[in-house]
Amino acid sequence: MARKLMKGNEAIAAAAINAGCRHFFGYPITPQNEIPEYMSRELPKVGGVYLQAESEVAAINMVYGAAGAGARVLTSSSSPGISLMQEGISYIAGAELPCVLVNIMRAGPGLGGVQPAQADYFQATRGGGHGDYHVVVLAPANLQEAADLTQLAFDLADKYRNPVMVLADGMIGQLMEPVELSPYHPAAGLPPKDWATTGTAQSGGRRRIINSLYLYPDQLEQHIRAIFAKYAEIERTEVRYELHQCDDAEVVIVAYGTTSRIARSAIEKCRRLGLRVGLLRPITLYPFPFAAFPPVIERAKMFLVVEMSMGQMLDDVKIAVAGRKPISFYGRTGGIVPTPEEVVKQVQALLGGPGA
Amino acid sequence: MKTVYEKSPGLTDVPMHYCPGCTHGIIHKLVAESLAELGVLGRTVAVAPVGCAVFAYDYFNCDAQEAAHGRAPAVATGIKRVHPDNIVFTYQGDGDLASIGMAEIVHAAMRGENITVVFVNNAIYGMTGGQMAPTTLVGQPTTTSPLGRNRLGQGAPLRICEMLATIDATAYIARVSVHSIPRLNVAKRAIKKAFQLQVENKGFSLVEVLSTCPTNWGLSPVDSLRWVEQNMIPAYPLGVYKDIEGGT
Amino acid sequence: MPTTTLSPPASSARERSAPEVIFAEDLCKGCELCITICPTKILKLDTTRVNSRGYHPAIVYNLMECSGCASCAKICPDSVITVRR
Repeated sequence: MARKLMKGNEAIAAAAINAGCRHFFGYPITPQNEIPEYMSRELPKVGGVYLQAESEVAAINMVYGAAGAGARVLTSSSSPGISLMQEGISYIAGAELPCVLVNIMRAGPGLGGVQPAQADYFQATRGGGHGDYHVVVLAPANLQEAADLTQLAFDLADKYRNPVMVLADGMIGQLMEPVELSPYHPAAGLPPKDWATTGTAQSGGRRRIINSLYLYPDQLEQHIRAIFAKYAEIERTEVRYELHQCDDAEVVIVAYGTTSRIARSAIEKCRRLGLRVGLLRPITLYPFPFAAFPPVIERAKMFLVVEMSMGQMLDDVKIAVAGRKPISFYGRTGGIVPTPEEVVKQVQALLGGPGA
Repeated sequence: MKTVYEKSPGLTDVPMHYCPGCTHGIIHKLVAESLAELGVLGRTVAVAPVGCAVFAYDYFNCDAQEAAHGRAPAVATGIKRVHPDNIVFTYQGDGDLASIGMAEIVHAAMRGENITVVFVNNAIYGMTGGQMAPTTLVGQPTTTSPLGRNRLGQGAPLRICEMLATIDATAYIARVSVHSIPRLNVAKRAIKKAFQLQVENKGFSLVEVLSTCPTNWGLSPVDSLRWVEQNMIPAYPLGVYKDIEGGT
Repeated sequence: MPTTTLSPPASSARERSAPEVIFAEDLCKGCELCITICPTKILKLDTTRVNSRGYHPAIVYNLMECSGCASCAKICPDSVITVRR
């Protein structure tokens, strides 16, 4: 497929279909409506099913049913809708079902606003719903990456039988960039879905039960420990991040998604001013790239975390840096996207003066 | 000698956890018999609720998914849309379906989702210990309406069949009871018909079964059957509320 | 599951024609629905013993009167009863 100019939301939707997703359940909410609209238009053409649910609560439970039936299934929403889905996400994680969730974040709390934000980091990376679990969280910074990570999300979900979230914001969702969708091949060695409820006639009479209820604490603890053994493997093998001009950087900016693009522009301006600034960009937010930090900590004088929130990923950076170097934070929130100039000013202030 | 009655192959050998005399067990049997007699057990997927029937997945001899409270129709929708050839049914109580899951049941009906819903109405929350349900009768005492349900402020019973029968896309809506053998036979025919319509891709079917809760009603199992007849049926008239095939 | 068969010895013509009512006794919860529903009233709880769950199990005490209608089996919530005739 040739490179094509697409909106971020459309790129995600197209990539999902390219990755074999044939079922989508969702509910309209700004700023992600191009995803359900694209799916409603394109899924029937490939024999798939688009269904507009009565609520995000229903949508995520349809995802549960479809995932339990063995389908590659997608839902998308934006912050308030993702909050409504948390019940179902917890059940999906508890029942060890694969599915892909897209959160095109907008500003909160409450109804908040419809402009971009990154204030759902805690919700996405800490679990979000009740109980002991994680969702794998992938954070694209451009549209090609949004498409690629969406495809990867389906593989990771199937590999680990766990929900995977593509976490972007309204900026990524609404932006237009060229995207190329290559012919998709699923990752090698994905396990067969022999647990899916397709009827006992297909399983030689063995009953398949999708469930997250374990009334005996010892059994539930065992179940959770088994899930966390998967998370340990995910933390070992699925960490993704990018280092940009960190080798000689005095200040290392840590940013993901939209703010990492802004940081990149700021770094360019800083470098022209003779300021040695680099970028550490987590691509997986869970698992967070803690292992990327030690060599960077050795060389950098300080860290600057930039987010479109009041400081959420900041907590993970604090854990990663563990007090060995100072950390500053610059955040805009409420739907305001920081400019590269604002970030340059922060760097200048940190390094003590305009040209440093 | 020929067998007049034996346990249905639609049920597993797991002993049921229901209280003595609870009619959940009877309703399970009618569902299991219907599926077995229609020859669809091997392609059936049950969706269990939250409530007393939460372990339904242990009892029905078919694949199953356990849903969150009230969400069974949404889960069933997901299953059915992936494998339309599967026979998919939900088994839900009154708290599950008529309270927390009201949106899911109404919209599954509105879409004419080709699933079958077995709705067990015993006018009370059983699993959690006898709290007031949306189907609790006016004047009926529960642990959260100790003076009896008051029409003003606590409301009057929600009549699900009457409500859903107004929805265009429904195929079959019936209310039955299992308090006597004749009534049980009618209930069996209704449940079997509901599944038959799904097999024929006719759309959404729901059978509401009036059921007992001897434990939380504070009655013996036998007196509970009488309570259904004397108190519940007047509030919840039995009958077929919708049948696209025109039967009543 | 232990079962108790309460068929009479097949010694007379009348007895040979009596239905067979088999109880999966350990599943019985003593709810008495079968006793109530039986049109000929030939069931009772055996209060002289308890089953493995601690309930007095239901039994047929007068099989000769049994019509084999299987009402008891149909109403039993726990699928305790099998009827043959």
